[in-house]
Amino acid sequence: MGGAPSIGSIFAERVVVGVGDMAVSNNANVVISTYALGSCVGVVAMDPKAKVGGMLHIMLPDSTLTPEKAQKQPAMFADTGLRAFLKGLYGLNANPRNLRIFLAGGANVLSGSDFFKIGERNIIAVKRILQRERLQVRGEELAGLNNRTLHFKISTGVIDIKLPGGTKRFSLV
Amino acid sequence: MNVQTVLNKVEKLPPAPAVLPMLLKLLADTDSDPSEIVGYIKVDQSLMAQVLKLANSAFFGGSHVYDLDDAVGRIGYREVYKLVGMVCGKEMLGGEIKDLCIEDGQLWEYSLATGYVMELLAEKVDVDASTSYTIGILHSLGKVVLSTYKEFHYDRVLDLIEKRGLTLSQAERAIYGVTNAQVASALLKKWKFDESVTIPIEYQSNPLSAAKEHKRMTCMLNLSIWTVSSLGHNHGKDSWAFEVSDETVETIGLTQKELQQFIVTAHDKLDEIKELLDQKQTV
Repeated sequence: MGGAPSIGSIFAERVVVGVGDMAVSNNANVVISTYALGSCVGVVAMDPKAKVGGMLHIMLPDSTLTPEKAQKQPAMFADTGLRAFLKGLYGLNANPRNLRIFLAGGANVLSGSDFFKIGERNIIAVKRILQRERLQVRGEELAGLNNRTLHFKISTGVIDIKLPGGTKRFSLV
Repeated sequence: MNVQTVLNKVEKLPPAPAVLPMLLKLLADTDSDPSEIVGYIKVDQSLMAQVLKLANSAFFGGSHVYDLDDAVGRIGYREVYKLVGMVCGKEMLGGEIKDLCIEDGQLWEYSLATGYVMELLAEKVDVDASTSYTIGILHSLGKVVLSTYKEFHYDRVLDLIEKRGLTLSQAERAIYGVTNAQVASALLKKWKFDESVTIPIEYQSNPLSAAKEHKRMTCMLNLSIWTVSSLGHNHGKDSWAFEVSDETVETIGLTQKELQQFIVTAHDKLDEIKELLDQKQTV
């Protein structure tokens, strides 16, 4: 049977999360991907006991910039996005005490004032909210000068982080 | 090494888009003679085919057109203008740049996104949108040229960025004495592009040093690069190795809050365009 595809890979279903978008699932066949996180931050979460996982791709730290947009697309901002994301995970019976979180993205320009460092501001906003919710971050691939692409397999809890010139791996299980 | 040496010695220059500068000039002028425009389009077969294809797509509707005059009339000067930039740009910028870890199509995606963001920003601050679009599409041409130049090695440049925290242009200048922005500008000058295009491209990484009459457009390019990067469309190992300053925002006449709101608008616009291009491609 060497080289034969597994049943899981035959039925694998890829869900692509765009900028300002999110996905949660309790389907073990789902692989959630998000492409080219620049200064945006990707939040990956998993409750291994409930077998529930999800991904959020936030673009900006604060929804007060444009409340109308936040109403239409809450996942675009750290505050409204994390609220909606956690609600989605808990809705699928994830337990906050079992939730394991991984963060990626938040790249910044080499030089510029704080205003231009959206990546840094996104990271601060996301971490502050997670701390307030008493949710612990298990791993991160943040800041720096590179874009990242993420692929998250709900069945294994493994996240592949693709960077220009290489791939890293992190497991939430 | 200087810009001229690079242009003289480089083995494989992108094919000179002979009709591009003339056609773009004519299309930007609403008083141009349509038959002259059609004449230029006819010179390039792939361009002609694209114009006819677009005119007959479901997006523009109506009965089938076989004639180029009718096709240009149906889709309008502005769409033809964009199509010309797109056809020529894709040919020049569509390949990979291995040293920078830029895969096939990624530099083109980034350039096209910059073109559209420049156009959107131009409309917001009331600057010529067509020239802005062209600048956005062509501003990275120098990377393509330098990546084909035997004596230029991007791995050395990247090493310097990582070790000394230099910007891409600072690292290029430190090692080779020439930047990709200077090379792009010189090549476009050679192809008879106007100063309104070549100067903003040359000064894209230090916009406040551009001549007064081109400073606003150059600042727009610098901020468009930042916007497009923030949205994740700038790929490769060099994608964040540049700098921006508060003064560039002031120069184009926006507040920081307005610029941040502009990123949201740019994101929505690029999503719309992606959908539109997908539709056009499936026709």
